[in-house]
Amino acid sequence: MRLLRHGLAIPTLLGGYLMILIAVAAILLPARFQAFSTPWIIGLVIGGFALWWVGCRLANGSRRSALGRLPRNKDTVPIAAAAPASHRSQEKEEVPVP
Amino acid sequence: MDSLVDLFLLILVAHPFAASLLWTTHGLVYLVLSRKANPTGAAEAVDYSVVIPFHDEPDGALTTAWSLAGVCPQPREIVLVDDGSAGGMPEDAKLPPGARLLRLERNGGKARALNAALRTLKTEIVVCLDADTTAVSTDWSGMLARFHDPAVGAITGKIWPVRRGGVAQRIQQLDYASVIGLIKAAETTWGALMTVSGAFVAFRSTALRAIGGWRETTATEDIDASWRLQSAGWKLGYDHRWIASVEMVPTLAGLWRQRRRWSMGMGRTVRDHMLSALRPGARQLPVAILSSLNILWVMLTLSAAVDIAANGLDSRAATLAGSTENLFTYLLASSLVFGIQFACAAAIHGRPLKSYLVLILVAPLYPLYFWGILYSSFLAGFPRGFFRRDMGRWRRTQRLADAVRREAGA
Repeated sequence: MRLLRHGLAIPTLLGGYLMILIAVAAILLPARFQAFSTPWIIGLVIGGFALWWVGCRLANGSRRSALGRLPRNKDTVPIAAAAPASHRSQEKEEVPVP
Repeated sequence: MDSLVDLFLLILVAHPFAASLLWTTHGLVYLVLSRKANPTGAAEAVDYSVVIPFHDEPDGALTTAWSLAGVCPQPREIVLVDDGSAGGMPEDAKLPPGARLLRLERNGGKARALNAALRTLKTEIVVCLDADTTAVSTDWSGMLARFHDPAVGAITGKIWPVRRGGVAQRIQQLDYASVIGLIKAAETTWGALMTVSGAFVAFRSTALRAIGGWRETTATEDIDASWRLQSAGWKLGYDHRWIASVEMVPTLAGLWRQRRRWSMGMGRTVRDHMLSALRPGARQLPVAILSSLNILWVMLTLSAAVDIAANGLDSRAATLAGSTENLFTYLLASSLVFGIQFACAAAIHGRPLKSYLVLILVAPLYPLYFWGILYSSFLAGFPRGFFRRDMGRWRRTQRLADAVRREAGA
């Protein structure tokens, strides 16, 4: 599942970036991008932004970024016992953390 | 083939605007979300230590250590690491309460000094400050509370430049105010940071030990540690309410050298860790993609310059630039986008408007700063970092006092 999410994140992020890039180019070089009217440009910017956002969420495997929202009570752990998911799975396999 | 060239031309023209739009929009998202989320009042008392490595500037290290006197909660201990300074710490130097000195006989670089301190520390949270950094925030509980999220490996704070008069320092102040802070805020909403600020950052020591500490053979230990932590699944974040002031490099030559060193570190990081961003579980994919596009854009601008030099107005780049009208639109759009970015950054910083007035006056110099310092130092530093192995030994960063002394001597 993680592999799939990560695999999907790359085209999603690139797609979002490309949409914003085309919108900007349509503003800067209107002669070359005559097909793109103002509603198209607005749509490209919003769509690009949304795709980039989704790509970030896919890449991170978590809805929470490090913005500072305290985790819910069931997630709250004493600071000394903390470890990310990848490390916790390593501990289960008894692979020593370097 | 033609469509690929068209895509490259598209990136050449529009990439700086696209990147700025991404940073600005996500900076606004950060602004909204961070107002909702204000973690204070940790449920348990948080134990943390502070490490201040220095080389040949004991006075600066002492000033940094004493600036922690008003911080709440107080650190369990402050470790000043003397990385083989010629004179060492003066005998009569007065250390603040809870501080101790760790003396390394040989100058081995900042990473080695930090690793030496890490081996002696018992606390889970380790705050690293450079010897030219002064703590401005006194309430550190919000920053410390973020470590209750078990995946958080490091939190970097906001660096606010010490206000001085020189153009070099003013332009850096503008850079920090309108670009660097905004990028870190935007990247935090993406869930990944390009880098923490080595001058002002709190690490989870478990995370640091899990990646083997700081790497001692790189020019920028902070970028390297950031990418390795994120590759291992740790989350990094930015806290704009946790503030320190840092003295800016006083001369343009010193600034160019500093930025070249940063670019060297970037080159080394790209070489060593770019592919690890593709691994499932690694968090830095968004910043890896945008960094790759930034590097591609630099290469495209170089190619365009060579194309124009060789073919003149018949070149594809010159044809794309086209009429004066296009150039005028480009300049207008640049000013507009930079203005919006600056306003967004100012909203995140939340400082009074008058603190930005002088910065608005130096803003027209920013293109000169970008091409003359940032771009040229990147061209000089990035390939060097990418192809060569640096030992990470440091020369003391030039300070204002050094520049004044040199002028007096001359």
